[in-house]
Parts: sequence; structure tokens; C-alpha cells
Amino acid sequence: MPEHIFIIHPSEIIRNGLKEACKDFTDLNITVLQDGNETLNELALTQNIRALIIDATLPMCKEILNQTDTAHSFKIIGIYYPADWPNRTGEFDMEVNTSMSIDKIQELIGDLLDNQPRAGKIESIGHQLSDREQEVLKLLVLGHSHKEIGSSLNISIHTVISHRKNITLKLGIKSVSGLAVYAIISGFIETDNINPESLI
Amino acid sequence: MNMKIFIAEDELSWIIQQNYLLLPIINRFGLSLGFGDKKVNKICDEKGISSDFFLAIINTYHNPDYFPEEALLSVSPLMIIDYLQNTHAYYLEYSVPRIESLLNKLLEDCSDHCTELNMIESFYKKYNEEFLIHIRNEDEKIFPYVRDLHQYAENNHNNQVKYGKYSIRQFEKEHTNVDEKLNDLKNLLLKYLKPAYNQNLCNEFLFALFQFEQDLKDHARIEDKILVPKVLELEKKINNA
Ligand SMILES: [Fe+2]
Ligand SMILES: [Fe+2]
Repeated sequence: MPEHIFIIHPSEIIRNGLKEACKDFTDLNITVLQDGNETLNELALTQNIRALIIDATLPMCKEILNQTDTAHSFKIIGIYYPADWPNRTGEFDMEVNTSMSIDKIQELIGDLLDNQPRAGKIESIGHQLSDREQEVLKLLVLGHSHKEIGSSLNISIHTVISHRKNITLKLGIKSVSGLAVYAIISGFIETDNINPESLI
Repeated sequence: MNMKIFIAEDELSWIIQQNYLLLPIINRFGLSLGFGDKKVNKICDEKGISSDFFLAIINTYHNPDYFPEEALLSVSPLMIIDYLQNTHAYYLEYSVPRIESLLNKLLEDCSDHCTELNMIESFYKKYNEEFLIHIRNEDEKIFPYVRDLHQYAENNHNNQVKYGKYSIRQFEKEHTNVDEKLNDLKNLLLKYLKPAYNQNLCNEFLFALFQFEQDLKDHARIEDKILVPKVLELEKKINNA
């Protein structure tokens, strides 16, 4: 199976610059992505990740760090702008800063990957549902239609369906009754006033 | 696992030693143990079974990447239906009761977080209900329809009188929902249920689910890829008669 390096950064120039830099020392698959839900999905579905090079200031970055335990088998490299350059926090496996020379960045990342022969996947990135997704999940398993959910949350049906898709992708559960079991055993639904089995 | 393709000159006892999960499959052909060192072609001859069909079925089951569509499409629809129906009987008489008794054992053993296991049970029941409806529909409607159709085709009859515009197409789309729920059930157990249960009992339950799932996948593939196209062909032939 091919192994992957992901580069995630909002700036196209930085994304592509890093990609070119990485090409010099590795023949792994390099994918450049902007931030966003699609990106999280793609990451969650990729099995063999060698390294993730990511803008350290992205909210998504926090989420990934929170959900990958310290023993993750791939490396996470944080990219900072010079102004944000931190004292090394230890959150990342390595930090680089955009004012560093390409040579320096290549050397740092190259060394890191040499010491990192194993590829892995992001274990439970999906597991965590966003607040919105939790709301959709609740209404869905309580028996509301997509249309009803849309109007009570003030979002379009299209958005409801896309939340629903993401919920399934994250949890690995497709049927509404399966989602109901999940919602109940995870405590998303109060079962004081309803018979939980009636939801299945 | 050994991904060899079994051939007519292989001894059946040797095949079973390569993959003992094939035992229930050979039973569906009316074969049971005690075949000494007889080879597949001999055993099939004695039992009046097409050895090509027999091999196609055990090889597909043994190797998920192997699917001899052409060989299977050349088999008589009656033979396919017999096999599918015997498979249903196996599910009803063995797989389903076994899964239920393993789940019951798990529930009886429970002393903590039982509400969660009860949810799993309710979900299983819902799944099973749908599964049984699916099987019953095939046994009672689809298979008799195919048998009739086969007979009409042999006798150059038209089927309009009994079946009107009914077509096998109406049954094609039905597999996904049932498969989905079984997969959901597995994921709920694997990923989300708090492990406050007897692990060995839960493992047994899961093993049974995995095995059932594999069997069903193989079964659905034969229905979707072999039975349906064969019947469509028959329908066309009859409508042109
Ligand atoms: Fe069937
Ligand atoms: Fe079926």
C-alpha cells in the first residue's frame, strides 16, 4: 500500500512550496489540501500516513492533536509564521517556521522521516462529532425527517444531508436505528422520559 | 490463507483441511462427511451434481477475489435456486438460532451496563426481522417465480397470464439495507459498546456475526450477479416468445 504525506495549509504558495521541497527527498505520495471538513474526511479514510505537515494555527490542527495519542505512528509537523513562532511546545513532533530556508526545512523533515519508518492512520479522528452534527444526530434518531431537522436548526435540507453523511463516515454507522443505539449508549439522548428501545 | 483455486481432481477431504469453513457449503449440496479420499469429480458424479458449479461455489466462498461469472452464468437457474434455498435453510435452522443463543448467553451474564446490551439486542432483533422478511420473500415469491419462468421458457409459453408485468428487477435493490444493519451491529460492538461484558462470550458472538456476514456477502453476490441476470435473460426470451 502506498504511504502518504499530507500538507495542509490555507496558503497555496506555502502548500506548493512545501510539496516541491518534500519531493526532493521522498517518493511518497504527497497530497496538498486546504483546511475544511473534506480534508478531515480524507485523512480519516487514509490508512498509511507517514507524516502530516500542517498549519499550526488551524482549529482543525488542535482537533487532530487531541485525537491522536502520543504514540501515533506517523509524525505531525506544525508550520508557524515567524510572528507566531513558539517556544517548542512539544505538541508536535517538530515545528518549522516559514522564514526558514528550504534547505533547512528539507533537512529537518528529511531527518524526522528517516527516523520514522512506520506509517499509520489517524485512529479516531472521526469519532468526535461536531456540535452541529450532534444536534442533527439527536433529532434524526428521535424520528425527525431531514426537512424537519432543517427547519428546526435553520439550515437547508442539503446541509442536513451532508451532516448526516459526515456522521456516518465518522462513526461507521449508517442506519438510523444503529445511530440511535450509538446516541443512547454515548449519552447524547436523555432516556429518563422515553423508552430507549422505542427509538430502534 | 491459501488462495489456491480448487479443481475437480482435488480430494474433498483435502479441500476441507485447507478451509474448514467450507463444511457448511458442501452440506448445501447434500454432501456430508465420510467421503474417504474421493476426488471432487467422483463425488459430484455419484450425487448427480455439476462439478463445475460445485467448484465455482466453493472457490468463490474460499477466495473473495475469485468470481467466475461466466461459469456461473452457464449453470441452470434451477440449480442456482436449489443452492440458494438450501443456504436459506441453513441460515434459518442454524446461523440465526446460533447467533441468538450466543447473544442470549451474553445478556444472561450481564450485571453492569445491561441497558446498553439490551439496546444491542433490540437492534439485533430489528435487523433479524428485516432479514427474515427478505429471505421469506425470496423463498415464497422470487424462487417460485423463477421456477415457473424456467418452465415457461422450456415450453415456449408466455408468462403474462400469471405474472403480468412483474419482473425480477423489482427485487434487485433490496440487499443494501440488510447488509448495512449487520455492519452497523458489528461496529457498535467493536467501537462503542463499553466492555463491561464477558469478553469470551462477546468474542463468540462476534465470530458468529463475522462468519454470517461473509456467508451472506457471498450469497448476495450470487443472487445479484448470477441469478438476476439469468432471470432477466429468461424474461426477455419469454416476452419475445
Ligand atoms: Fe437469499
Ligand atoms: Fe437476497
